[in-house]
Amino acid sequence: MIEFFSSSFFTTLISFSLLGTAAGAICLLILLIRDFIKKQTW
Amino acid sequence: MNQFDTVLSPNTGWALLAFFGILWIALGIFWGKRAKDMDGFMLAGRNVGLALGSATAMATWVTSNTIMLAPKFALQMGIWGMLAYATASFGLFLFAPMAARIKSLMPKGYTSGDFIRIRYGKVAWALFLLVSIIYSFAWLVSMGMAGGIVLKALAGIPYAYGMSAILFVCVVYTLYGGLYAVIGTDFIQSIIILIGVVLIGAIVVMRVDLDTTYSAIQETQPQLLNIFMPVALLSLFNNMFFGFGEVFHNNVWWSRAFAMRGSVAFKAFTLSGFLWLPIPIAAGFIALCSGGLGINITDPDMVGPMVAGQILGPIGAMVVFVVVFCSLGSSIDSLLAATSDLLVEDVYKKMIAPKASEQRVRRISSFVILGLGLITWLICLPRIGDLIVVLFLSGPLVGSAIWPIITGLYWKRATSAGAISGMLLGSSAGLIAYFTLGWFTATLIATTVSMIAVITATFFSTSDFNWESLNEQESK
Amino acid sequence: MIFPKKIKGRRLFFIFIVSLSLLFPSSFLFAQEPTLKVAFTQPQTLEAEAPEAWIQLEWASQGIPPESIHYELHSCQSLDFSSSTLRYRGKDTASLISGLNPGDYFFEVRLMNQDNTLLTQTSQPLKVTVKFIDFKIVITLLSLGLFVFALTVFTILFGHRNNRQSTGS
Repeated sequence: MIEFFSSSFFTTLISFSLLGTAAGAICLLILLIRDFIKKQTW
Repeated sequence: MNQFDTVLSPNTGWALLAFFGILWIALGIFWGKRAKDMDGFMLAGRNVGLALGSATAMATWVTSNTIMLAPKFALQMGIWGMLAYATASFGLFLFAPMAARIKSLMPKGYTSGDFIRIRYGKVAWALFLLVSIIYSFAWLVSMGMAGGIVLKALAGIPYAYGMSAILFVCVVYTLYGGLYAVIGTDFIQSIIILIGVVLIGAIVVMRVDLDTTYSAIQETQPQLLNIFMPVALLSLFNNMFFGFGEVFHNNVWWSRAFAMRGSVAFKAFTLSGFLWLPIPIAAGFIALCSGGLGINITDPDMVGPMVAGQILGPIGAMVVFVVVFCSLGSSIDSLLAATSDLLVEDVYKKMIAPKASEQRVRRISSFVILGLGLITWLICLPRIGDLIVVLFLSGPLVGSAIWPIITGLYWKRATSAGAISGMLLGSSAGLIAYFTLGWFTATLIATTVSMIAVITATFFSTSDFNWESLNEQESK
Repeated sequence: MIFPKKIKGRRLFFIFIVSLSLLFPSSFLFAQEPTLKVAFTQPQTLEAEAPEAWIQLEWASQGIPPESIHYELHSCQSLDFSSSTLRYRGKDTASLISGLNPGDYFFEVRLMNQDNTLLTQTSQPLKVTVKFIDFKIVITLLSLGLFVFALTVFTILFGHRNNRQSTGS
């Protein structure tokens, strides 16, 4: 039984993973700024 | 470049090590001043917010393995290799509700050992401590060795020097700064890791055409695109349970739950899962581009840095170096802190000197951190390759702890007999499976047998645990 | 005793020296007989299995090669190498081949001169058999894993939901 991942799946997976990782970094920085303003960092 | 070149020169490697080493130590000393008492030193004042909480959970789970092994998995097992690796984030997702439960049951709790001792009694506690300490050492040693090996492969820095430098830096800033230093540096390290991975991946994508890459793989490495790649599927759940066991039992994660403020714990662990999930894919896919670019892979352990170095040149190699160094630091510091907490709180305070003053406990903590660092260094020094097997063997041990922990948190009728038999039978079955059926069955079998033992014991149980006792015994 | 045999001794000595000087070039000939060889160093047997569809190949050359040489790694699914695939060309002495479809593969390494003439090649091709573990075993482990995974997740989420209800959050 052999089925293969398609080319579009391959491309979409990689693109989303890079976007997701970048979004993660941005999200963390925004959260830190928000916590800092609210004096809730630690 | 050929297989005998390193991607960076030793001088560059040392310069990067020195820069970041001094930075972490300076920050460690600076942030360490916030710790006014043991709550501060061990648990960062129990007030960590969402940003720092999510970052530390994510960064600690990103080890050098994530950066170095993800490309290797992709190269050997293709797309499923990367997807299977990404499922390790599920442990973080599932720990989110557990962290909330831990905080509500034990608002003044310190360690995972505390929970097991009160919930299940001393026998289970002793067993649990054994499992936890074996695993923690296995993880520490594997990180120390990985550090030395990677620095040698990337920059030609001799193994003993590279390994010693990394351990030294981590021990010093954890010693001075405690969990404040660990969490603070984890945040910076997490940003560097995320940005570094995106930078390398994005530039690779800009330099190669993904459709052409796909065609090249289809031509010469077709099985990498197989949806039912047997080898990846075979180990999928085994590795997932290894991940669950690691996160659910270890004080590294429990101490974070205790350190976070109120309702932050659930959100932070959930977010950390999302932050971690794409990393193995973003870091791993570059290995799949090697065939299409005509890059010959001579050593699968080095495929990530090799491809980054060939496509991005020395800058790419430096980024990989820094990302690996940060991923090592963020895990080693957490392990040192959390394992020392476990030993100080569970062994020293509970067994040896219950009436010890805070000052004395703080001093003992420092000695324990130093001791852990020294023992790890001594074990890492001879570079015994087979030691990595110890990490794999710890899979059944931690897998057998999954069901005792989750039922201990949620089921009133869960008994110590169930927990003890679960851990003993599960570990034994798992270790036997490791040598008879194969490494890819060990943790799965351990978890299954442990689950059966726990459920059976609960079925016959008349126990009715009082959740309040977890809180009462812990209030100081 | 030497003196009466002086002339005979000199002749013998002369023959000895001539023989030695004749032997020297022919000794070179003998030494050159196996001049240049290339062989796989990893795997060390001529037949290997690749249950995970990848194989780590390493090779080394013996003898004194000329200045600029390079290696070519070829694979073919038939022993006669009628239509071989060039897997690698360069100076490295190792390569990881992965993602192979199930079946038999034959590998050989060719040592090439800088003008692409063949100097020597591996005397016998390496046979690599790619055969996956029985799929029934995969299905069994997957099913068991899925079952335990589902129970674990259910226990946690159910417990979490009950906990929230009872604490009225």
